[in-house]
Formats: sequence, C-alpha cells, structure tokens
Amino acid sequence: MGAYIVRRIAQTLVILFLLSVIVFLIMHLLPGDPVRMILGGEASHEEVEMVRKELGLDRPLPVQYVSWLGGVLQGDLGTSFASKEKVIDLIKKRLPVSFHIGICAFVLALMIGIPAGIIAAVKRGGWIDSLITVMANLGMAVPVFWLGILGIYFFSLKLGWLPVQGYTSPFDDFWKSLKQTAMPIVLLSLTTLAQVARQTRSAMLEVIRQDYIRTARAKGLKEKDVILRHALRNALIPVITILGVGMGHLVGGSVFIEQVFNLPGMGRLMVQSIFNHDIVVVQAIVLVVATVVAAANLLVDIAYGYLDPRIRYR
Amino acid sequence: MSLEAQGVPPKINNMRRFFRVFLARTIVKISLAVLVIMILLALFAPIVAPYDPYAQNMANSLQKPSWDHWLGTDLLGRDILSRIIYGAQTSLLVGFVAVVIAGSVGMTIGLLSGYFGGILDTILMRVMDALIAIPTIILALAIGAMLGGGIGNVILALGIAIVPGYARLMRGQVLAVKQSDYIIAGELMGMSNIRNMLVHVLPNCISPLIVLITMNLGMAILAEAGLSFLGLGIKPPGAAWGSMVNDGYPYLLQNPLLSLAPGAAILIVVLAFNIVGDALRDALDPRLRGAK
Repeated sequence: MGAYIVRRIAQTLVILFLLSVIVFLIMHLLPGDPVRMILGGEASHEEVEMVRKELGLDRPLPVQYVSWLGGVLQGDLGTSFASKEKVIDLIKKRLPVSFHIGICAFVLALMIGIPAGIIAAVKRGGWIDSLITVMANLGMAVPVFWLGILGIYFFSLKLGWLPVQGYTSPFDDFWKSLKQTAMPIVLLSLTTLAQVARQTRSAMLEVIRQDYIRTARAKGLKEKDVILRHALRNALIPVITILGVGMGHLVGGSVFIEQVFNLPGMGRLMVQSIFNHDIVVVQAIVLVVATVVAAANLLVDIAYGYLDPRIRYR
Repeated sequence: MSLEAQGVPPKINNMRRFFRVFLARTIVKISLAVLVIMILLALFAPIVAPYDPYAQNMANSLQKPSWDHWLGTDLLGRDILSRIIYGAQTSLLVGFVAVVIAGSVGMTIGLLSGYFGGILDTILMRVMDALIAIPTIILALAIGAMLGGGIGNVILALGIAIVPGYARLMRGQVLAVKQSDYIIAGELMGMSNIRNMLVHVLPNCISPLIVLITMNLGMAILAEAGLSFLGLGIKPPGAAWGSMVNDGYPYLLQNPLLSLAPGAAILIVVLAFNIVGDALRDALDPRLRGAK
C-alpha cells in the first residue's frame, strides 16, 4: 500500500508540473496580445511597450515561466491587472464561497444518488427503476445554466419562495444563507447526482449477479443485509472512480451557477477576469482549480487502492 | 486467424443482432428520430424557418407567442423559432467539427504513443493526464480567453479538451494488439510497421470509438452552449442556443420562452445523443458478440 501511495503521489507531482507548463503556454503562446487587450486599440506603440516592460512581459518566455513558477511555489500568484490586488488575496476571498456550494452539492449528490442507484438496481425493471433511469439521463443532459434560470423563474419569480441572487456566509446568517444557497446547491448537484445514480445502479446490477451474493442469500441472510452489507461495499468501488471525474464537472458547473445566481466565487472571478483580459488571474485560477482536481483524483485513487487490493499491483 | 476459424458466427448475424438490440427500446427509436430531425432542420434551415433569424423589427419587440410567431420574438423583434432552427446549425457544426478534429489528433497521438512506447509514450500520456485534470469548461474558457470568441475558436478550445479520450482509447487498443500473436509473428518475419499496426488496430477500435464519439457530441454541444451563454462563444447576432438563453434572462417575466425554449432544445438534443450512445454501447458490447 505504501509503495502504491508513493507512486501515485509521484505521478501527481509530475502531472502538476506539466499542468503548470500547459497553463503557462496557453496563456502566453496563443495569439492575442494581452497588453493590447488591456490598453485598448488606441494605445500608442510606446505605451504598449512601456506597460509590457512594467508587467515583465518582454522577457523571454522560459524566464517568465521560471519567475512565475517560483512565485507560485512561494504562494505568490501574481497581481491582478484590473484591480491591482494580489491574486492570492482575491482567491482567498472567493474560494470559500465556491467550496461551500461545491462541497454541499457533492455531498447532496452522494446522499441522494447512491440510494437512488441502489433502489433502481434492486427493483430493476420496475416503474421506479424506469423513473430513476429517466431522471438520471435527464440530469446528465441538462444545461446547468438553463436549469438555474428555470429555477429562478419558478421558485423566485412565480412562487416567490427563494431570493434571486446574493450570497451570505452561513457563519454570518445561517437561515438567510440557506435560502440563498438552496437553489444553487441543489441545481449544481443534479448532474453529479445523475452520474452517481447511474454508476451505482450499473455497479450494483453487476455485483448482484455474482456468486457470493447467491451464497449470502443461500445462507439465509435477510435481503437487506445481503444488499447493504455485501453487495454495496463492492458496488461502491467503481462508483468511487467516477467521483474524481465528478469533481471536475462540479467545478465546471459551478462557473455557470455562480454566473446565474451572482455568487462571488472562483467561477465568477474567472469569467470576469476573462472579460477584463486579466490573464494573470485567469492563469492562477486555472492552475488552482486543476491542482484541486488533481489532488482530489489522487485521494480517490488512494481510496480505490485501499478498497480494491488488486489495483495496487498494476 | 480468421474469426470463422475461431468459432465466432459470421458477420451478417452480428449485424442483425446489433440492430435488434440497438433498436429494442422505443426511447432509442425516438431519440434517433430526434437526431435525424435536428440534422434535417440544420441542413434545410433556410427553407424550414418561417423568418430570417437576423431580421430585426423593433415594432414587434418582445411579443408573446402568437400564430405569427409561434414562440414569440426577442428584444429586437427577431423570431425565436427561426433562431432556434438556425441555432441547430451552429450546435451541430461545432459538435461535429470539434469531435472530428479531436478524434483525428487524439487517435494519431494514441497510435504513435502506443506503437513507439518508451519515453515518448510516457511523456505523451502524462500530458494527456494533465489535460484531463483541467475541467473541460475551465480549459475551454482559458483557451477562449486568449483566442477570443467566435465559432472557430470555440471548436479549437473544445477540440483540445476532448483529445485525451481518443488518445487513451487508441493507445489502449494499440497496446492490446501489439501483444497478440500475429503481430509478434509478423515482426519475426520482418513485417512490422505502423501501417500494419493500423490495419489490425482500427477494426477493434470501431465499437468503443463510436460510443466515445456519440458521448462527446452531446458533451460538445453542451459545452458550446455554455460558452455562448457566458458570452465567450458565438455572440449575438449569431443564432446560438446558449447565447439566446443568456439574452432572454432579463426578460423572464415578459416572455420566459426566450430563455427556456433554446435551453429545452439543448436538453432534448443532448439527451438524444446520450440515449443513442448508451444504446450503441449496449448493442456493441463484445460480451454479447456471437450470442443469439
């Protein structure tokens, strides 16, 4: 187990390094002069060159990369062009919001998705299986931003139950926060919920056919014990593998949810920075996000290695 | 070694069995019909659409659904239904081109990586892993940020994001084939080269490739809609479903269909692609090959 963990950590570090290179290249190699974009079309040649020197963008690319990477490793993600704040401070303000919505959505997806998948598998072919399968398919096909607008239309405008936008930290005012974040959290969780339900269902169907389940039943165990104690444990293993991918989708979905509900999170910051041509911020956000996802994948792989010993020896 | 010699029934049975399993459920037939209708709408948009999607008519601004305009009009008096029909062109175009480009590039990378192995393989696959770690939307946003909006850049951004899937698939198949007896025999006879590899690998690839393509098409359409919604994809006056949803947001009380109708179109099409993709995967399941 230890060797497996070390191997996976080493792989993740390599991936993180490559990530930093890829992110840097995207922001610096693609056509589009960021300095011109910030200053606008009418800036004179001298002004452009002056700003370019000021921002250090006239140095050769490898030098810029090393300088940037050095800063990152020390916790300095640069300074925003638009607001002149340190990027790390901007991110520190926004990350908790995205985390709040994201983690709650993730937990909700698991809490509803796994039982739904189990029920669908156990009652296979019945009406509840069909219902759950249809809802899962819908959940994976629906555009998150549209769902947000639909939710606002019904629950805010027509029924007046929930506010349209705004964000309060749950530590400041719990009930207000709950009312404001209820829709975003539920809607964000739907896609992952659908995936989890589908995966749990197909994993359970796979496991229920196995011989050891037949043995358990033959032993006279109650059906509830057969399903929950024996089948579920094995079925959850493949489900864990999609949790890593699910996190990525959750992060992507949060960009839209934050936009529609006007929540001051990382996704919204990224979109705003793109429109401001603030590539320092965009670069930092992509790096942070990808690092979080890579770390989550690492944890998922380690958990997978713990639960399924066969994987450790590949 | 021919398939018949191994005791597998001849191909014609497989084809019939495939269609029987594939088309078994009604929902699959409906989804296929939806996709065909969408493709036809996109191809024949100029004939089918009742109005020019770009024709502005301020006198008709923000009308509710009526016999003249089945879904109403937007702020500039443009017919919503026509814009949705033309939007199908955008979605399909982006989806297909992105998938074709990503597929070609990805499969080439996978082929080279699997065939040559060694350090090239390690580097390429680590790069693919790094790409996968970045969520698709975020990656597409970052690339789009540098390139600007517009249909070409959206295609490029989406294409880059989905390359790793094809690379991994192809590489897996190449590695599997590389170990088979007939390749080793061929190498001993001095026959090995990349063309040979391709000839043997491609037939095995086809099934998972078709499933991957279908799933990616749905995902690409969803992603393009998302980018357009944020204002980074196809911008107005271009008729794209995502940007229509965004444009309609301020007018939810006057005519909710402005946002809800194009979104429903996205949902229906992506759902159809997903259902067909699932059915394809079930029908192509190698464990069922040769079964009754």
